[in-house]
Amino acid sequence: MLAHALVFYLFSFIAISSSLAVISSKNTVHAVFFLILDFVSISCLFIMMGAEYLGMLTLIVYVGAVAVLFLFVVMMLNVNFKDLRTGFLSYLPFGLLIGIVIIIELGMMIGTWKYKDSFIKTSEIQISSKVSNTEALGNVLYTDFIHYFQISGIILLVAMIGAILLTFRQKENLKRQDITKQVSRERDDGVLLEEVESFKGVKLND
Amino acid sequence: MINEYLNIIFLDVLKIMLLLVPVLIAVAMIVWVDRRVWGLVQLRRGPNVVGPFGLLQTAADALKYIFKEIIIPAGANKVIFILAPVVTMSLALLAWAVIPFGENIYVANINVGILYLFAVSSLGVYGIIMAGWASNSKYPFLGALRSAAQMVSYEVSIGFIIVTVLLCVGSLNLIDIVVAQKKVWFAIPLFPMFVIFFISALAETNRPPFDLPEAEAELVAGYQTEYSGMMYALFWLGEYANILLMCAMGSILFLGGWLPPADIFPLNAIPSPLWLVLKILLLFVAFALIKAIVPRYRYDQLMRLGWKVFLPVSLVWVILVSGFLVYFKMLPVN
Amino acid sequence: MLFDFLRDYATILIFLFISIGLGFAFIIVNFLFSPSNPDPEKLSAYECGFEAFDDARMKFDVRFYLVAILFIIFDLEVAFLFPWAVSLGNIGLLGFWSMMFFLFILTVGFIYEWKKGALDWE
Repeated sequence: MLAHALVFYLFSFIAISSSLAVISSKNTVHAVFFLILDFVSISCLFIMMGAEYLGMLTLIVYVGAVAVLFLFVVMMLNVNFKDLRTGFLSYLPFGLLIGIVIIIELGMMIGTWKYKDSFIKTSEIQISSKVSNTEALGNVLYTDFIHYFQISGIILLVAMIGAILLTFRQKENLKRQDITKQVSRERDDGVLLEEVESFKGVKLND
Repeated sequence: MINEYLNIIFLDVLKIMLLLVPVLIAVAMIVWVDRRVWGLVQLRRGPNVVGPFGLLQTAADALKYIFKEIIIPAGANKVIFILAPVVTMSLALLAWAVIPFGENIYVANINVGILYLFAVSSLGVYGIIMAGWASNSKYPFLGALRSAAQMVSYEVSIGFIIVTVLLCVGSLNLIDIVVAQKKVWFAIPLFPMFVIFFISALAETNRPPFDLPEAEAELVAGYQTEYSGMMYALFWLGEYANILLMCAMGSILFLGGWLPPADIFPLNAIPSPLWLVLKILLLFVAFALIKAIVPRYRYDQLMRLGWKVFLPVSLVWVILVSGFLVYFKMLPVN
Repeated sequence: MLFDFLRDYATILIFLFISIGLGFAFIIVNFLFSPSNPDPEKLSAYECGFEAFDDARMKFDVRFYLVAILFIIFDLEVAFLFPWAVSLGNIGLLGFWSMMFFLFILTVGFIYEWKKGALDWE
């Protein structure tokens, strides 16, 4: 199991150091790239635990979608870090309070996990080697946990509507291409055959 | 103990080399096939000077790029500038680790093979974004953003199409997906999905007719504009490796992978990897023909196709296929 | 038991190192053999022969942001579809209809976007 431990320590080291680099980086885009490295190492840690579906999902959703969104926004907004960092001391007490609350929560979680298992109920998913991780998840997610599943659907709907309400500005007087109108045009709408007499022109009425 | 680990590592490296060297040679050959087909469609010959039938053309081009000067534009972010082509190339090669060439011929057999392929193609966006941003210049940046938005739009429909195939298989393992096609290849019952997958693969790899972000008349070379020397060649090789990967995915998902068309004597005798290679070649020739023949899509037409046509159609097919399988009790049970 | 499962992933990890090494090897070979004639013209950004007009930042285009958000949402929908597709044989009709309801909710959102014009580029 030496290799297992070594690889675990390697990925954890990368995860922790890149998360430190995210908050201490001077350039915003560098910070996002370190965040991506962080996500990748965490997904590798998930896979090492046996949660391969979750590991791949972290790669697909977090790295492939969420971090792309962050990158788009950060690259287009030229965030000036110096201006952002001023006023640090005035926010310090509030930041410290939030930090202490998070540490207390973490301590509670680790303490109960280590010392009192029954405080937090473990899931009902059996770990069996015959059923793959994805299938085991699928067996319970859509039937036993149907409420959580539907609520997550509604959260996604709210996210869609929210994103459009907050950001979308339709541009007026823009010519758009309407493919159905173009394709459904009949010959009569487009071509007009006129008999032309010599020395007299054609008068079109449009 | 150490001996055992070294043994394992040595075996793995051997397997990887046995895969990597043919894949790199295949990428070089496929560039030649592309240029030949393109030339023949235009009633000219294509490369036929360097080496027999012009086969060494790609090697000569790659060699030329080694001797070109490396120019890193002023104001470019050096680390990310150099990292971007390496990321593109590594990701394109990394996905080949799970492609099965036969029932027992593969480098790695993981339980979530198809998800791994999907994840690697999602990550492919980063090479492009990094290249565009690190160049610190308008054309690459705009080209990279547009390329990225295009790749991302067509990934959704690829995801839905993979789900329709999974409904017929019941497992995420690539070998199970191929074995489930022993009776009939999925391209026959799921033919519209095959067509949409093929077109989405064209858009995903920035291939004509969807190559506006890197077309010469529009944005010079898009995100590759500021690159020179081997880094430019790496992008180009990485793009072709990605195309081969999409052809391999299409063959495994829809054309029965390494299975012969029928289990009868003369077809059976041909070794399985050769069948997969033939199918990949078939799909790639289709890619090359489309490049030579179809005019380019404008960017808003391309995005409209991805979001307003492919997404609803593939979603409706997921519902249809799942409803059909559930109500006719044809679901794969395992 | 855990080790058997991870054996193939170890191969993939080694493959990752080898392919990254290969990429860097190509670039290092290029560094070794390329000529070096620095010139200020070569270092400037490409702008069709002109001097660069202004900073490389473009105005923030909200369309890219919208495409990225829509992609996240539909990617999550696909992520929910994967375990369902694999286990549909075991969960029967209830599982089928719960997913159909989920897809219906997201289709409502999709139709809203379509009508609002958020899917039109330009």
